[in-house]
Amino acid sequence: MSRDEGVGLGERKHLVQRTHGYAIAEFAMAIPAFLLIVAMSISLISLTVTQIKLESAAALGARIIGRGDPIPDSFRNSLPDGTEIIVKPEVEVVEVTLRTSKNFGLAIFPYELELTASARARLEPVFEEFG
Amino acid sequence: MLGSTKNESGQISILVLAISLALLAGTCLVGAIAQVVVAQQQLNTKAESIALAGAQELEFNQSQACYVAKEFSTTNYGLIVDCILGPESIAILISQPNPNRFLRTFLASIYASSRAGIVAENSLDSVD
Repeated sequence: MSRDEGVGLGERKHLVQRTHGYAIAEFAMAIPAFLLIVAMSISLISLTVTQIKLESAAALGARIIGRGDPIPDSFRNSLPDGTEIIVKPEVEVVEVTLRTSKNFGLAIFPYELELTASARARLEPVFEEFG
Repeated sequence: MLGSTKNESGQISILVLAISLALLAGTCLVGAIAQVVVAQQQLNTKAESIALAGAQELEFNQSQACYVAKEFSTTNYGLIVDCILGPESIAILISQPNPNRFLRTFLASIYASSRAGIVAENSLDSVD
């Protein structure tokens, strides 16, 4: 225990300053900041993974439609929940856009972020089978 | 211990500040790498679709396969690609500047390549 002279006190009066345990108290105050930054990093990685999944799924969807096949249920089921599929056919090309929203924030501060991925594929000619 | 009354106040604050700054820098780096990874994935899918577009011409109009692939790329993505035409396949090499300015100093461009061709009949037997 150290005894420092307090500001504004008389000559014979001393303010007892207890410093023991400050480290633990400061560390306890810093823990939420640490957790916040770690949570941000994890959310960022999660967003990236979802975006990559959407990109590859959009390319696959464009390829399926480009071949002239309908989109199978297995493809829809593989997408994140609530994903919207937008198919935009053009003259020789089909464009598939996948749109979904993901919660980026924490439980206290929820923040919805919209993720979009689109891919294009050339329409393949469909040949009639003979015989 | 007598005579060694250390004031603990502020000891952790400096440590916390240093670690917080390091973690923030780490988070920024994670974000930058994520941006490049996503751009790489987009470039891969573009290369695949360009190669597939060109490969459609391989069977009946082989000499025009590269032309069709390049036209598809320019029209849909605004990208100029390198095309190598083989006897039964087409290879596409595509590049674009790194989208992240910070990482551009270490990795100026990102590349993707893709190859598409006609499936041999004997390879289909194993699928059936």
